[in-house]
Amino acid sequence: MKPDFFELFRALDCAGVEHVVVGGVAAILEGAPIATLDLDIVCRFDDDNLHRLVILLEELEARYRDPAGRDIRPTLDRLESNEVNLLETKLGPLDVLQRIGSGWSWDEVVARSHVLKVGDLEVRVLGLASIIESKMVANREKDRAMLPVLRRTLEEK
Amino acid sequence: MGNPSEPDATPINDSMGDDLGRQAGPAAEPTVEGAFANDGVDLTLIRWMLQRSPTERLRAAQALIDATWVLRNQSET
Repeated sequence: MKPDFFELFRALDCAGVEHVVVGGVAAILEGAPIATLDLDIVCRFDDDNLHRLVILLEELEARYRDPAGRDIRPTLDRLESNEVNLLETKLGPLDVLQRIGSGWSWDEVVARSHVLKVGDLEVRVLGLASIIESKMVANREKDRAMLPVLRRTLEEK
Repeated sequence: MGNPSEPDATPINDSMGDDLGRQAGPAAEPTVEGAFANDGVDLTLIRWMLQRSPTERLRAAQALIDATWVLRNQSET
């Protein structure tokens, strides 16, 4: 499915899922000229929010992007037992994370974020300095490759 | 980007400034001096993004995906 970030934001907002946008889309919203296909979010993993998330994922016909090609639906138990949930939805890839950075708690992620106006929605986004920090912690080749652009963007802001 | 109502679609002519506050000079020659950081990062692209609202930034990213999808579908048929 073709990613549709605006519609994904609207769906999350309508479902009342508490989340913070992180990763590539957060970097774009913060002004970094990069390209990405998936929306990464950190969610509050309490019972109420997880319940809302599961209902939304059902509506979005979400499945795990399973390397073995199995048809695996995201259930409450699966979401809770996986810190990283790589999903495919009818609005494109959606990665639901429990944590980011050096194990930042939900409260810490929120403290490192701010709200941006995106269309007619208010979207909570991880700040660029924290995005950079999270990429440094992840320290994968793809994260390291992105760092020069992110750092220069932060300098130019 | 592709939308004529978008500010960045406003054509720049020699007699007036554009929506980004640039003043068009008479017969100015383009240069890449200062365009790139010493690590090769294109600073002009970063500044272009920073001059836009978060909505416009995301719209630009979405437009890139949309265009890629169209091209992909065309190549498959």
